[in-house]
Amino acid sequence: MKLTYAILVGTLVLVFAGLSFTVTTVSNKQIAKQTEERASMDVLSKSIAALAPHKTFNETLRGKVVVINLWGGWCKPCLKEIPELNKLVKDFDSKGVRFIALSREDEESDLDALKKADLNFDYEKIPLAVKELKFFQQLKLEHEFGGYPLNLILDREGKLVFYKSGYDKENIKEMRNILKALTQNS
Amino acid sequence: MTLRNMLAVELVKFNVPLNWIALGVYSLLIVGLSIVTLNSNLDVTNMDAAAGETIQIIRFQMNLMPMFLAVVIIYNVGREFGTGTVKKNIIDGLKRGDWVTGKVLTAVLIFLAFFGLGLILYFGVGSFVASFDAVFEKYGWEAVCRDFLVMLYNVTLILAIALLTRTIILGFICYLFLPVLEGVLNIVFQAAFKSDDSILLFLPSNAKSLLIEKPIDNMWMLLVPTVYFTLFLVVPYLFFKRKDLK
Repeated sequence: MKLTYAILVGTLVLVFAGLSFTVTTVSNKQIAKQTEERASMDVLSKSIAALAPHKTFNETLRGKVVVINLWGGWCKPCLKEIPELNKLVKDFDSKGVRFIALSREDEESDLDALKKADLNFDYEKIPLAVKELKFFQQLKLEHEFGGYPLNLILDREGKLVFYKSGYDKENIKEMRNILKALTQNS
Repeated sequence: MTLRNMLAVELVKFNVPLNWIALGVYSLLIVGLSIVTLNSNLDVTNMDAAAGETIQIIRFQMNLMPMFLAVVIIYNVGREFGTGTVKKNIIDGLKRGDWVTGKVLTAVLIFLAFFGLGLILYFGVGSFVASFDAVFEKYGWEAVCRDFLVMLYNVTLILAIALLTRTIILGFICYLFLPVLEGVLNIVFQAAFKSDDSILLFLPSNAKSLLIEKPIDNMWMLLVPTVYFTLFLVVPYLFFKRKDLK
């Protein structure tokens, strides 16, 4: 009977290990392909085309490193990360990096929330229509988390080099490292 | 004793009211949700939205299944130890290997049947209210495989707890509080080593998260749930000695 049980356990373990390794390998390959496709996209051109003509978010951003933050006054994690984001502005603004904060059209309530929380947001604040904001959310890959806050970095060619949602100090650290690398020669 | 005979023995033991109540409630909930989905979506012309509604059947099933499996498996194993059926079976000539094999086979078969039922209902209802392609896009083969692996992992974890604790109450307490205990262990580890690193993925209950994590940069990490899965099947067998029944 020991043999029967060993065969049963062996079969179950083989199925389990084989399936988990196969699924993960295929999934990893798909993610790598999707990430590569997104990285080769000219996100800046696409976003300018997707948005209504705007005095800040337009062709003048071309050739610059652009940091975009999607936020809202109703979103507590968004407010929580603002002091960290302001430090990025302080360190990289002089190096030609543009910092843009996009929020829903209801700008007043967002600004009220900042006031209430006793915060200054040093990004250039642009209110957009929900439909326009969706463009940035749709850049999310299947395996990535959605939601607010959302941080993006576009390199000088308008390509997406960073895309992460949610407040996490590690994200800010990663953003800082990317900005350092992108502004090395500035 | 052949596998067929072992299953026949298990089926006889399975015939107690609580098992049928649990099975009935579980089936009714899944079928009921499918009917609700079917009715609420009859006039939906947007296939993507309809498929999005239908996915609730799978999500509901995946949330419900571990608890249902815990009730059935822990109750049955605990009851056999409690009433002395195991001891009687062994005295009657059933080997401990036969007994454990019967339990593993039954647990896996119950799981397969209900996982299959969920899939049939999801794709059946989904094809009716949207289209097969639309629901398959929302819940493709990769998601099916990942859910299958997580649930299979849960089945063996529950079975291991049931076989090691041998009592219904203790089995449930261990199953319900294992994730809490792991959380506490993680906090203690972080405090002791003044580290932000988490050890949760290396602990039995939380290791299953690795089966749904995307992407996994280090494929060797998959060995963690695989090793636990093997241990869940082997350790209770090794700990189950004839002398324990005295």
